[in-house]
Amino acid sequence: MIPCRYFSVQTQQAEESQVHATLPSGQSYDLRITDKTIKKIRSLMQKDPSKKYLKIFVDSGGCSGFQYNFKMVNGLTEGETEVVFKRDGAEILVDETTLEFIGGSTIDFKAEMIKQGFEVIANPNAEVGCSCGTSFSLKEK
Amino acid sequence: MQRNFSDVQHSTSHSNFIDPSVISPPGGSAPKKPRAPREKKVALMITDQAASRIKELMSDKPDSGNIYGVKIDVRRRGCNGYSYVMDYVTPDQVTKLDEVVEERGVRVVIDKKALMFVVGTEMDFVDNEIKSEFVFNNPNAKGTCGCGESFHV
Repeated sequence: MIPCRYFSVQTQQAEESQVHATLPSGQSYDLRITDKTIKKIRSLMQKDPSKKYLKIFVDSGGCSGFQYNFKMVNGLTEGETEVVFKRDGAEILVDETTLEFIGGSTIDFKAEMIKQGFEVIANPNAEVGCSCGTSFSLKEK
Repeated sequence: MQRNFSDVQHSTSHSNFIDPSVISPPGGSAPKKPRAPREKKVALMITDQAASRIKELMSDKPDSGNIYGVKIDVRRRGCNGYSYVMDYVTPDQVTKLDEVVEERGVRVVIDKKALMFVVGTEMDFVDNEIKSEFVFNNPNAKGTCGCGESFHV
Protein backbone atom coordinates (compact mmCIF):
# COMPACT_ATOMS: atom_id res chain seq x y z
CA MET A 1 0.00 0.00 0.00
CA ILE A 2 1.30 3.42 -0.90
CA PRO A 3 1.46 5.66 2.14
CA CYS A 4 0.02 9.15 1.92
CA ARG A 5 -0.57 9.34 -1.81
CA TYR A 6 -3.64 8.44 -3.73
CA PHE A 7 -4.16 9.24 -7.37
CA SER A 8 -7.21 8.47 -9.26
CA VAL A 9 -9.54 8.41 -12.19
CA GLN A 10 -10.44 11.51 -14.06
CA THR A 11 -13.44 12.36 -16.13
CA GLN A 12 -12.77 14.84 -18.87
CA GLN A 13 -15.28 17.59 -19.43
CA ALA A 14 -15.24 20.65 -21.62
CA GLU A 15 -12.91 23.00 -19.77
CA GLU A 16 -12.41 21.20 -16.54
CA SER A 17 -12.16 17.67 -15.34
CA GLN A 18 -13.06 15.90 -12.19
CA VAL A 19 -10.35 14.12 -10.24
CA HIS A 20 -11.37 11.58 -7.68
CA ALA A 21 -9.42 10.26 -4.71
CA THR A 22 -10.23 7.70 -2.03
CA LEU A 23 -8.48 7.83 1.31
CA PRO A 24 -7.57 4.70 3.30
CA SER A 25 -10.32 5.58 5.73
CA GLY A 26 -12.79 4.97 2.96
CA GLN A 27 -13.68 8.64 2.55
CA SER A 28 -13.64 9.73 -1.03
CA TYR A 29 -13.29 13.23 -2.42
CA ASP A 30 -13.58 14.94 -5.76
CA LEU A 31 -11.96 18.05 -7.03
CA ARG A 32 -12.69 19.71 -10.32
CA ILE A 33 -9.64 21.25 -11.89
CA THR A 34 -9.93 23.68 -14.75
CA ASP A 35 -7.66 23.76 -17.77
CA LYS A 36 -6.44 27.21 -16.85
CA THR A 37 -5.26 25.88 -13.49
CA ILE A 38 -3.32 23.11 -15.19
CA LYS A 39 -1.75 25.53 -17.60
CA LYS A 40 -0.67 27.86 -14.83
CA ILE A 41 0.79 25.08 -12.67
CA ARG A 42 2.75 23.85 -15.65
CA SER A 43 4.18 27.26 -16.37
CA LEU A 44 5.09 27.66 -12.70
CA MET A 45 6.83 24.28 -12.83
CA GLN A 46 8.84 25.40 -15.82
CA LYS A 47 9.89 28.56 -14.06
CA ASP A 48 11.06 26.73 -10.97
CA PRO A 49 11.44 22.99 -11.61
CA SER A 50 12.23 22.29 -7.95
CA LYS A 51 8.67 23.10 -6.96
CA LYS A 52 6.33 20.64 -8.57
CA TYR A 53 3.13 20.79 -6.57
CA LEU A 54 0.48 23.36 -6.00
CA LYS A 55 -0.51 23.03 -2.40
CA ILE A 56 -3.91 24.19 -1.27
CA PHE A 57 -4.53 24.74 2.41
CA VAL A 58 -7.16 26.38 4.52
CA ASP A 59 -6.23 28.79 7.28
CA SER A 60 -8.31 30.65 9.76
CA GLY A 61 -8.52 34.29 8.83
CA GLY A 62 -10.19 36.61 6.39
CA CYS A 63 -13.51 38.27 7.00
CA SER A 64 -15.58 35.10 6.99
CA GLY A 65 -13.62 32.81 9.28
CA PHE A 66 -11.54 30.71 6.93
CA GLN A 67 -9.45 31.49 3.92
CA TYR A 68 -7.90 29.60 1.06
CA ASN A 69 -4.16 29.66 0.59
CA PHE A 70 -2.02 28.49 -2.26
CA LYS A 71 1.68 27.90 -2.61
CA MET A 72 4.09 25.93 -4.74
CA VAL A 73 5.96 23.26 -2.79
CA ASN A 74 8.67 20.79 -3.66
CA GLY A 75 7.21 17.72 -2.03
CA LEU A 76 4.97 16.14 0.52
CA THR A 77 5.07 17.30 4.10
CA GLU A 78 6.39 14.79 6.62
CA GLY A 79 3.82 13.43 9.02
CA GLU A 80 0.81 14.75 7.15
CA THR A 81 -1.68 12.79 5.15
CA GLU A 82 -1.76 14.50 1.81
CA VAL A 83 -3.63 13.62 -1.30
CA VAL A 84 -2.21 14.24 -4.75
CA PHE A 85 -4.68 15.15 -7.44
CA LYS A 86 -3.01 14.56 -10.75
CA ARG A 87 -4.16 15.74 -14.11
CA ASP A 88 -2.30 16.23 -17.38
CA GLY A 89 1.08 16.48 -15.74
CA ALA A 90 0.05 18.93 -13.06
CA GLU A 91 -0.22 17.90 -9.46
CA ILE A 92 -2.25 19.47 -6.71
CA LEU A 93 -1.51 18.62 -3.12
CA VAL A 94 -4.24 18.83 -0.51
CA ASP A 95 -3.95 17.70 3.08
CA GLU A 96 -6.70 15.69 4.69
CA THR A 97 -8.07 18.47 6.88
CA THR A 98 -8.23 20.89 4.01
CA LEU A 99 -9.92 18.28 1.87
CA GLU A 100 -12.78 18.11 4.33
CA PHE A 101 -13.28 21.83 3.76
CA ILE A 102 -12.91 21.94 0.00
CA GLY A 103 -13.96 18.48 -1.25
CA GLY A 104 -16.21 18.83 -4.27
CA SER A 105 -14.96 22.31 -5.19
CA THR A 106 -13.54 23.57 -8.42
CA ILE A 107 -9.99 24.88 -8.54
CA ASP A 108 -9.63 27.66 -11.02
CA PHE A 109 -7.04 30.16 -12.11
CA LYS A 110 -8.63 33.50 -12.66
CA ALA A 111 -6.87 36.04 -14.84
CA GLU A 112 -8.36 39.50 -14.75
CA MET A 113 -6.68 42.79 -15.39
CA ILE A 114 -6.73 43.79 -11.75
CA LYS A 115 -5.84 40.42 -10.27
CA GLN A 116 -4.56 37.04 -11.31
CA GLY A 117 -4.55 34.10 -8.98
CA PHE A 118 -5.82 30.66 -8.05
CA GLU A 119 -9.30 30.35 -6.63
CA VAL A 120 -11.49 27.75 -5.03
CA ILE A 121 -14.93 28.17 -6.49
CA ALA A 122 -18.27 26.42 -6.12
CA ASN A 123 -17.36 24.95 -2.75
CA PRO A 124 -20.29 22.83 -1.62
CA ASN A 125 -19.17 23.01 2.02
CA ALA A 126 -19.04 26.78 2.24
CA GLU A 127 -21.61 29.46 2.62
CA VAL A 128 -21.14 32.21 0.10
CA GLY A 129 -18.52 34.07 2.06
CA CYS A 130 -16.62 37.18 1.28
CA SER A 131 -17.10 38.61 -2.17
CA CYS A 132 -13.37 38.53 -2.80
CA GLY A 133 -13.57 34.73 -2.87
CA THR A 134 -10.58 34.07 -0.66
CA SER A 135 -12.53 33.85 2.56
CA PHE A 136 -15.48 31.67 3.46
CA SER A 137 -17.47 30.24 6.35
CA LEU A 138 -18.69 26.69 6.68
CA LYS A 139 -22.26 25.67 6.05
CA GLU A 140 -24.06 24.50 9.13
CA LYS A 141 -24.74 20.84 8.90
CA MET B 1 -10.53 117.93 22.02
CA GLN B 2 -7.45 115.98 21.50
CA ARG B 3 -9.57 112.89 21.29
CA ASN B 4 -11.95 114.34 18.71
CA PHE B 5 -9.09 115.39 16.58
CA SER B 6 -7.59 111.96 16.53
CA ASP B 7 -10.96 110.51 15.58
CA VAL B 8 -11.20 112.80 12.61
CA GLN B 9 -7.67 111.99 11.65
CA HIS B 10 -8.45 108.36 11.81
CA SER B 11 -11.59 108.50 9.72
CA THR B 12 -9.90 110.51 7.00
CA SER B 13 -6.92 108.26 6.85
CA HIS B 14 -9.28 105.29 6.72
CA SER B 15 -11.27 106.70 3.84
CA ASN B 16 -8.04 107.13 1.94
CA PHE B 17 -7.41 103.46 2.25
CA ILE B 18 -10.77 102.28 1.01
CA ASP B 19 -10.35 100.31 -2.14
CA PRO B 20 -12.64 101.78 -4.81
CA SER B 21 -13.66 98.28 -5.82
CA VAL B 22 -15.34 97.75 -2.46
CA ILE B 23 -17.67 100.72 -2.91
CA SER B 24 -18.39 100.01 -6.55
CA PRO B 25 -22.12 99.60 -7.24
CA PRO B 26 -23.61 96.14 -6.77
CA GLY B 27 -23.48 94.09 -9.89
CA GLY B 28 -20.34 95.85 -11.03
CA SER B 29 -17.39 93.59 -11.53
CA ALA B 30 -14.90 94.19 -8.77
CA PRO B 31 -11.36 93.63 -9.94
CA LYS B 32 -10.14 90.46 -8.25
CA LYS B 33 -6.76 90.16 -6.71
CA PRO B 34 -4.77 87.72 -8.78
CA ARG B 35 -4.46 84.62 -6.65
CA ALA B 36 -1.84 81.98 -7.23
CA PRO B 37 -3.65 78.87 -8.45
CA ARG B 38 -3.70 76.22 -5.77
CA GLU B 39 -1.48 73.34 -6.63
CA LYS B 40 -3.54 70.48 -7.99
CA LYS B 41 -3.54 67.39 -5.86
CA VAL B 42 -2.17 64.37 -7.68
CA ALA B 43 -5.13 62.10 -8.25
CA LEU B 44 -3.15 58.90 -8.44
CA MET B 45 0.43 57.90 -7.88
CA ILE B 46 1.68 55.04 -9.98
CA THR B 47 4.62 52.98 -8.82
CA ASP B 48 7.24 51.61 -11.20
CA GLN B 49 5.87 48.10 -10.81
CA ALA B 50 2.35 49.21 -11.63
CA ALA B 51 3.56 51.22 -14.61
CA SER B 52 5.51 48.33 -16.08
CA ARG B 53 2.53 46.03 -15.61
CA ILE B 54 0.24 48.49 -17.37
CA LYS B 55 2.73 48.72 -20.22
CA GLU B 56 2.69 44.94 -20.39
CA LEU B 57 -1.10 44.91 -20.44
CA MET B 58 -1.15 47.47 -23.20
CA SER B 59 1.26 45.54 -25.36
CA ASP B 60 -0.65 42.28 -24.74
CA LYS B 61 -3.77 43.78 -26.19
CA PRO B 62 -3.89 42.93 -29.89
CA ASP B 63 -5.50 46.23 -30.96
CA SER B 64 -3.44 48.36 -28.63
CA GLY B 65 -3.36 51.19 -31.14
CA ASN B 66 -7.02 51.80 -30.47
CA ILE B 67 -6.65 51.78 -26.69
CA TYR B 68 -6.25 55.02 -24.79
CA GLY B 69 -5.21 53.54 -21.47
CA VAL B 70 -6.61 51.71 -18.50
CA LYS B 71 -9.51 52.96 -16.50
CA ILE B 72 -10.09 52.71 -12.78
CA ASP B 73 -13.55 52.77 -11.33
CA VAL B 74 -15.16 51.79 -8.06
CA ARG B 75 -18.22 49.62 -7.69
CA ARG B 76 -20.48 49.34 -4.72
CA ARG B 77 -19.78 45.74 -3.93
CA GLY B 78 -17.61 43.63 -1.71
CA CYS B 79 -18.05 43.13 1.99
CA ASN B 80 -16.74 46.54 2.90
CA GLY B 81 -18.48 49.00 0.65
CA TYR B 82 -16.53 49.57 -2.51
CA SER B 83 -14.11 47.67 -4.63
CA TYR B 84 -11.92 48.69 -7.53
CA VAL B 85 -12.59 47.81 -11.13
CA MET B 86 -10.11 48.06 -13.98
CA ASP B 87 -10.52 47.82 -17.70
CA TYR B 88 -9.15 49.09 -20.99
CA VAL B 89 -10.61 52.27 -22.44
CA THR B 90 -10.79 53.58 -25.96
CA PRO B 91 -10.43 57.34 -26.55
CA ASP B 92 -14.16 57.86 -27.12
CA GLN B 93 -15.01 56.31 -23.76
CA VAL B 94 -13.14 59.00 -21.89
CA THR B 95 -15.38 61.91 -20.93
CA LYS B 96 -14.40 65.46 -20.11
CA LEU B 97 -14.88 64.99 -16.37
CA ASP B 98 -12.73 61.90 -16.09
CA GLU B 99 -9.30 62.47 -14.65
CA VAL B 100 -6.39 61.40 -16.80
CA VAL B 101 -3.13 60.67 -15.05
CA GLU B 102 -0.03 60.33 -17.19
CA GLU B 103 2.96 59.14 -15.30
CA ARG B 104 5.95 56.96 -16.03
CA GLY B 105 4.86 56.52 -19.61
CA VAL B 106 1.44 55.09 -18.88
CA ARG B 107 -2.00 56.57 -19.01
CA VAL B 108 -4.56 55.86 -16.33
CA VAL B 109 -8.06 57.26 -16.51
CA ILE B 110 -10.03 57.66 -13.30
CA ASP B 111 -13.76 57.61 -13.71
CA LYS B 112 -15.43 60.82 -12.54
CA LYS B 113 -17.55 58.88 -10.05
CA ALA B 114 -14.50 57.18 -8.60
CA LEU B 115 -12.34 60.28 -8.40
CA MET B 116 -13.48 61.43 -4.96
CA PHE B 117 -12.83 57.99 -3.51
CA VAL B 118 -9.49 57.54 -5.15
CA VAL B 119 -7.78 60.96 -4.86
CA GLY B 120 -4.28 60.60 -3.42
CA THR B 121 -4.16 56.84 -3.80
CA GLU B 122 -0.97 55.00 -4.61
CA MET B 123 -1.38 52.34 -7.22
CA ASP B 124 1.05 49.46 -6.85
CA PHE B 125 1.44 46.06 -8.42
CA VAL B 126 2.37 43.07 -6.32
CA ASP B 127 3.60 39.98 -8.08
CA ASN B 128 4.51 36.71 -6.45
CA GLU B 129 4.59 33.25 -7.97
CA ILE B 130 1.02 32.37 -7.06
CA LYS B 131 -0.82 35.58 -7.63
CA SER B 132 -0.29 39.00 -9.06
CA GLU B 133 -2.55 41.93 -8.43
CA PHE B 134 -2.85 45.67 -8.40
CA VAL B 135 -2.89 47.07 -4.88
CA PHE B 136 -4.36 50.45 -4.05
CA ASN B 137 -3.03 52.22 -0.98
CA ASN B 138 -5.87 54.59 -0.42
CA PRO B 139 -5.51 57.29 2.25
CA ASN B 140 -9.26 57.96 2.11
CA ALA B 141 -10.20 54.45 3.14
CA LYS B 142 -11.23 54.18 6.75
CA GLY B 143 -11.18 50.43 6.68
CA THR B 144 -10.73 47.52 4.35
CA CYS B 145 -11.96 43.99 4.08
CA GLY B 146 -9.73 41.25 5.42
CA CYS B 147 -8.77 40.26 1.93
CA GLY B 148 -7.98 43.87 1.00
CA GLU B 149 -10.27 43.86 -1.97
CA SER B 150 -12.94 46.22 -0.75
CA PHE B 151 -12.85 49.37 1.37
CA HIS B 152 -15.08 52.01 2.89
CA VAL B 153 -14.60 55.75 3.17
